Amino acid sequence: MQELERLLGRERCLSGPGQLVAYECDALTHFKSVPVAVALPQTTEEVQEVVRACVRLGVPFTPRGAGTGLSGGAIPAPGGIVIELSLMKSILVVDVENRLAVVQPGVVNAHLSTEVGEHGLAYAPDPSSQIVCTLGGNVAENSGGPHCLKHGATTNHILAMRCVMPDGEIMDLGSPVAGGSAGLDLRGVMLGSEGTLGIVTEITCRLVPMPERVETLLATFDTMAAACSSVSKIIAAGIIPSALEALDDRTIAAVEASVFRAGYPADATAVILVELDGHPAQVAAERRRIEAIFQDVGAIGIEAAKDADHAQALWKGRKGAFGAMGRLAPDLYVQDAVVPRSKLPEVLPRIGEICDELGLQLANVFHAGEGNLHPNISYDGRNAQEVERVVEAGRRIIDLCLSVGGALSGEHGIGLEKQGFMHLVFSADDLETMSRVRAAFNPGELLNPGKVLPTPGACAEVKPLHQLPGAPS
Amino acid sequence: MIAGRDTRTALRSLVGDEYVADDLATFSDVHPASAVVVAPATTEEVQGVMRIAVGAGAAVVPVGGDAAPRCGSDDSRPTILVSLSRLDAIVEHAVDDLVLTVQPGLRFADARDAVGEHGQVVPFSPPHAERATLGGIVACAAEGAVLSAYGSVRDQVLGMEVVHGDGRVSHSGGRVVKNVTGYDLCRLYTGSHGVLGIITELTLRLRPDERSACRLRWRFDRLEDAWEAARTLHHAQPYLFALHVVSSLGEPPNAAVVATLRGEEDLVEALGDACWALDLAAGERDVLAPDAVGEIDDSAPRTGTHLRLGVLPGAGDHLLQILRRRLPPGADVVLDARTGICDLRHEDPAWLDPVEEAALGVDLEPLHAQVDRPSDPGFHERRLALFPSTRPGGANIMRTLMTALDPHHVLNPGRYEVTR
Amino acid sequence: MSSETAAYLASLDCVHCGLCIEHCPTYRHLGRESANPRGRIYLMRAVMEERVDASPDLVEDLDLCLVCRACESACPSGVRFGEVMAETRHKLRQRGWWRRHLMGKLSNREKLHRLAGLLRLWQRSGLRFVMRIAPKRLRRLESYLPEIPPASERRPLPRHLAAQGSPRGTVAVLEGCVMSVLFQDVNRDTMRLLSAAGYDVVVPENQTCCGALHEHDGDLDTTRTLLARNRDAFGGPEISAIVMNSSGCAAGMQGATHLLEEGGAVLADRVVDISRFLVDHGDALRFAPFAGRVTYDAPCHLHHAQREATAPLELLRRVEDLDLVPMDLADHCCGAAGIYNLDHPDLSAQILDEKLDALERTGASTLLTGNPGCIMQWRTGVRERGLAVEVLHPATFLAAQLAPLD
Repeated sequence: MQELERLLGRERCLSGPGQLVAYECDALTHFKSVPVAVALPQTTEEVQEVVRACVRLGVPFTPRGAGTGLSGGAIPAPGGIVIELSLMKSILVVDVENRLAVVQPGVVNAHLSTEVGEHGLAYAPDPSSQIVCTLGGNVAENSGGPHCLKHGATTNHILAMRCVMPDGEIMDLGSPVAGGSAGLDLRGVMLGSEGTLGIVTEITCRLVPMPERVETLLATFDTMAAACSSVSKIIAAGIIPSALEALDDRTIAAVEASVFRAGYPADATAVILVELDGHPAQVAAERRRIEAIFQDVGAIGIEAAKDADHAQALWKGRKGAFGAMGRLAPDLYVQDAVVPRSKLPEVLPRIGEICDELGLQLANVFHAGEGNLHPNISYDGRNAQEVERVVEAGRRIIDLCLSVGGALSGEHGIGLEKQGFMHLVFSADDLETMSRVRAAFNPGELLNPGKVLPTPGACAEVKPLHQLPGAPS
Repeated sequence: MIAGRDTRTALRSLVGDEYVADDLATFSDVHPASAVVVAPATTEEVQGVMRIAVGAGAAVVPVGGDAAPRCGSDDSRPTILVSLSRLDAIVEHAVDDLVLTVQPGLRFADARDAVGEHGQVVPFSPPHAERATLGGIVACAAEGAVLSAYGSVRDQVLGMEVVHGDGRVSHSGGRVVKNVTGYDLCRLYTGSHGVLGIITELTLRLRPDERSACRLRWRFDRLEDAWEAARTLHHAQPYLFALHVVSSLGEPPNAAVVATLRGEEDLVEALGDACWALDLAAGERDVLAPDAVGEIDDSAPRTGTHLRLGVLPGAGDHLLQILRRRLPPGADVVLDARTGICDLRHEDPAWLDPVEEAALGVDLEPLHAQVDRPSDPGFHERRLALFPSTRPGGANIMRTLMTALDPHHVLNPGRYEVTR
Repeated sequence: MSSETAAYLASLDCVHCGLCIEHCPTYRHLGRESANPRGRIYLMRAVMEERVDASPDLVEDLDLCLVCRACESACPSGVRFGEVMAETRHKLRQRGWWRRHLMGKLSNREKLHRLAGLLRLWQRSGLRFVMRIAPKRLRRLESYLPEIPPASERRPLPRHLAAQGSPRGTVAVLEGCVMSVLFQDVNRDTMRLLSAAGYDVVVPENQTCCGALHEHDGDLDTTRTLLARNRDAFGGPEISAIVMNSSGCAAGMQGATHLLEEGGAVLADRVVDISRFLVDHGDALRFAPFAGRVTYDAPCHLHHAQREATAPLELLRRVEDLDLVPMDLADHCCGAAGIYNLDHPDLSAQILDEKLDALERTGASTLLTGNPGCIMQWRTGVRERGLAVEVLHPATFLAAQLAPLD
């Protein structure tokens, strides 16, 4: 503590009991652990100094961006500190010719696109929280977002990075040159490692030219199954829209009641939001094919965004949906699982049945084009019985998704939330390999301990009870 | 050094007599090699081979289509070449999901034909496309002309099964297109040249085949003019599928720009018109069949030297100037104008030295290289000299990772000698 | 503390998504969770649940909140942040954990007017150089004060101004505390505009301070007393609207809905900003052309609290030839926030700095903003940076452009 104050000064080293409580969780509010201090470094060297001090004193440390993570990745370890990177928010280089930018990790995702917009460029991955979430956090979680369907997730857009390793050494990984640097792809494994392998302090991002034409379509359906089958058919037809999203009636109602109201049709049971971007000729041809598919599966309405403002409103509504769910009940559990896209029409109704059986309020809003589901279950965390039913639903949904060949998480990460489920997808040897990889980077496990991999000795069968935000603590 | 009698016996009892040989050519149409060759048919047999190698203190070198250089093998140890030619099945082609799960020995060409029937493509364009296997392409991260359109080899790998140096088998990723469950070890294994394990199964993302395609070519007298034209096209036409500067460095030098167009018919037509309308100050120009310019996709000569350099795309002209100034005549140059990847080829194996010197002389950091020159014993040392971007710290972690997953150092020893 | 108050229930709407945090000026500068809306709601909820003590650092970070309510505009769940903060401050105050200065002085208009007279004497005394060695806070306070207008301009408003042309109705104006001392000219311009639009304007007697600063400070008891007095003072049935030119006061009076048990809505529902009123009812107004570049900064309590983003711009667009350029961060707080600039001069100055950069980028020679605190803050910043920008209330600007009726 004194050490940190000496390094950063009082202003950038928090130790007040109230201030620390604010850091006890991220956007997953169930798990809580109050740090012993919070450091707010501004440079790579300051991060290095903080890390070295922690190593010297044997104190665990956890990096944190905007705290919008939904799997508890930024929750500190008991007795540990938080390294808050929000003050490292400079854009260091914008290289228009080579279409890349070098930024600090605290730069907000959307700010980068705003900043490079005047050059006709953009940073492609767009998590729903992009107006606040940081690129450092995106790197840690390998964040997705609606437009990752065509353009790829964070990992496809990060060329290189500078990291402070768990022993305090500064290291450059990756290369801005296509094909990457020599040797093993350490950059690739650092991406999405949920802050357990190193602290990223400089990021070299790929920028993409802004599309010549963007068209946004909204198709309305009277069943979710029909909406999903349009998605499966679009994918099977070999069309790759830039985004392909689904929203159900409950989500629409919540969004329309919020500051993000977008004018979604109130009478729809489900809507599919499609965006096409690219050359006008390509977009026009794809639009014709998609409209034919919508008609084929019985869409009750197909509407195109009138102009850029209308399209933007539709997207703001989509991206604000998670927050708007707060209108439905005090607490919200967002599941994040993936299924093969061809299984969507089969899986979605079954998720509805699971929640009906358990008497829970479900709202679906998800990245349909990638099969990345986000069942949102609204509940009141002060009702212990309801919490139990939510836990049960979460578990059954995961079992269902895995049974059709799906994955545990598409973009939110494992963090603290899903460690207990890792054994459902990975064998002991699989986990052993991952644990050896972590040990190669983070041998003492002072950096963000207890995340991603199941903690030895913790019984997966009893864990889920504690795996919900808002469950009584 | 050739593995001893006991090793052979053990291997024979593992996979059967007919699948152990002294010549790799027994199992595939590849160069002969002086090592015991074993062709396992299952993941369990690969595990068995690994355990035998550990017991015998032998090195294990996985071989796919032998399309990439088998460089780095340590001659001082007995070597077992593991031919993956029998692990060549399509495990699952989820047509409607555009996902393909295969065994590593499946040839790219066979996979291409199989998915092609469904209007899909495997998004690779490896050197030696006819012989390269999918496992080999992934293990070597063999990038090609589709890089700027589809992304890198790493971007296409969704899941993997790998047998590590201690015989353990482990999985990472899955069979869905978006997945952050656990560490992304698929990326780590891709391009690891077999030093972390032998791939025994892999799941790839497929792409829809574009409905229409063609290639446009402009010819130039001067390399500089070709480069200028390529940059003009690059900035004016973001929706080209690929864009290359192709040249034979000679007297007089010839140069061409080749733009590949793929997509909906309307797109190809509109793009073609727009490209032709640009004033690129070219000599002749013509329209080629989609696959006409073979050298862009697959032309690495079986003999001779292939050097791959990477620079930032904007530095391409600088690179070309230096190469032109410093290289002897006769070299073929293919520069991907959008990615900055530059392939240099020459029939003469002795040609490497000036190339390497030139590359090192280029003050364009970072750059990297792959050298296709199998018969040169001193080769990997020089290859390492071309890796200025490997920081010492990274090398430590790489070494620790290699030890963690291959504790007995049996896998492809010498391939990644990350310290000098 | 009670765990089922309205504010507590409002805090439950927050699902911790964090979409608000970049809209928070204090977070943008301090970077810490406890100084952003999500963190503050979390802490306030924890205090109300008695899960944590109101430690000095916690109180400090709640105190650092500008209550600009930009987070409310950003919140998809519609959390009523301002209410939660006011009630929390109220609770903290009841427990003696909350203490602020200056409040008493502002609520009493007579005292304020006497103080103004003294200050004007001081400003004209030639002794101001001694401020160079005064404590920082006092220095800031001194620099922040505009030239106090002479007593003649501070004189009370007429009780009544008749409509020009045939009257279309009767409206009332709030004289205000700070407004009446420092910006009585804006009040007069407001009345002129309303009269020109065809309205009889009344200035009811017995009206008092709106209570906004007290609410801001968690002094809900006084706020309620003041609101009740104004409810009665403005109760005349002939008054169709209470037209406001101070967005902070307007937002404060609108709080009557939830703060007053009786008749709160009668007061609150008639409160309307001058810009909105004139957009809806000012079709009779004619403005002379203005050839110059003007930019607009949205007062938080107009933009976020009253959710009035468009009316001022719509109105200004009726002035021909006007080169109205948008300013970056126009919907962000300028750092005035009531008397925040006096309590937290450093942070307030940092926040203003970013805004001044944005102002410079517009190249405008006039900045319009409809709140007295913001005008003072901007004028201080513009003066200290040496910019040739005139900072005016939109009512002042528009009244000067009033074309005589045909």
